[in-house]
Amino acid sequence: MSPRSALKWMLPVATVIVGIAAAQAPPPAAPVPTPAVVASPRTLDVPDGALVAAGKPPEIDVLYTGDVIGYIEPCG
Amino acid sequence: MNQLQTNYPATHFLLLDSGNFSDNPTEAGDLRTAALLQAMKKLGYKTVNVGERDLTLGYDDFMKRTEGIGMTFVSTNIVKQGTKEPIFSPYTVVEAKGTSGKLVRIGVLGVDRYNPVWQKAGPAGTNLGMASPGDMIATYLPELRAKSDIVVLLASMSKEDAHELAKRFQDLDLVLGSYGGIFNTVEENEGRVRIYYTGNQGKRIGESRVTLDPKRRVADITSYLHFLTVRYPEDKAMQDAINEVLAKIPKPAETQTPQKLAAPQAPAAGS
Repeated sequence: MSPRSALKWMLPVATVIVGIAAAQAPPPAAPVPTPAVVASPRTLDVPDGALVAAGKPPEIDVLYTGDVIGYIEPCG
Repeated sequence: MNQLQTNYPATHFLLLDSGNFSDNPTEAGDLRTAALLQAMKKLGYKTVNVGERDLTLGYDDFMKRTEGIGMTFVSTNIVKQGTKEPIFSPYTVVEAKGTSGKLVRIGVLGVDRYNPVWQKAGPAGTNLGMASPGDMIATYLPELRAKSDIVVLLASMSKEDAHELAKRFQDLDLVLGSYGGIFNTVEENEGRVRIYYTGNQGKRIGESRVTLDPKRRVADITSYLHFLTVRYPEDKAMQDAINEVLAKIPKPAETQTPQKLAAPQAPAAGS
């Protein structure tokens, strides 16, 4: 059998096999929606380990403490 | 403070405290409280909420300890017992020149956790009581909002309670609280209201940088929590003043070894 005649019958057979396989294959899964990006809350750490954050001067800067209960000694 | 003032020379720094600054009412505790109040005055604290601890010995003692200190003490929900009449200013409005050169009006309310059985000696033979924070904020917030560009609630209560108040009162801008050692590590909010807790014992200081829009309403708030470790340099003059106070504090008596407990006696025969 010449390669050309072999190709003649192999091509339809291959087409039938692929068709059967496609028919038996499970339906494609529903596309999985990309999860919405949930922004994690911003940290209150001063960036880059600095003592004071850099940035544009605000209109006003509010500083606050509470429950100091008489502590005057260094505690860090 | 020095570092902030160096970096932002044109910015006004408003210092607030949510209360319970007082140590125990002992000789040593009173010295510490007095030193702390003096340090707060030097640092430029403007407004302080009155906490339950600050009234341990009642109104007259509180007034004596804070006389001439030059800070405004507010409490929106400490009232004459059985009424809704505040004993202290229910709020204050601090006016400061903003970085833009325009006036900024900061309204400050202060509340303590609701404790209906709490009572202390009040002025002139009356008693102090605690009213519901929500009821009292509802009374004063509308007039304060009208007078202010920024409204701050100082809260000495659990963070959960503060969240409830923030949810209910969306006309607040900031809730700044303390309750034991609770502190934020990240941003928290209820709608537009930001909530920050700074822990206790002065270990941390919160910072909220506020910018206003052309209508003088809050446009943005960027906050940080500074953990005051040894990385933060000491102010020598302040440290010297504190050391002077510490030297006056009587040393606690040496701890005595507890006596060995007597072994339980065997019951007498026949008993």
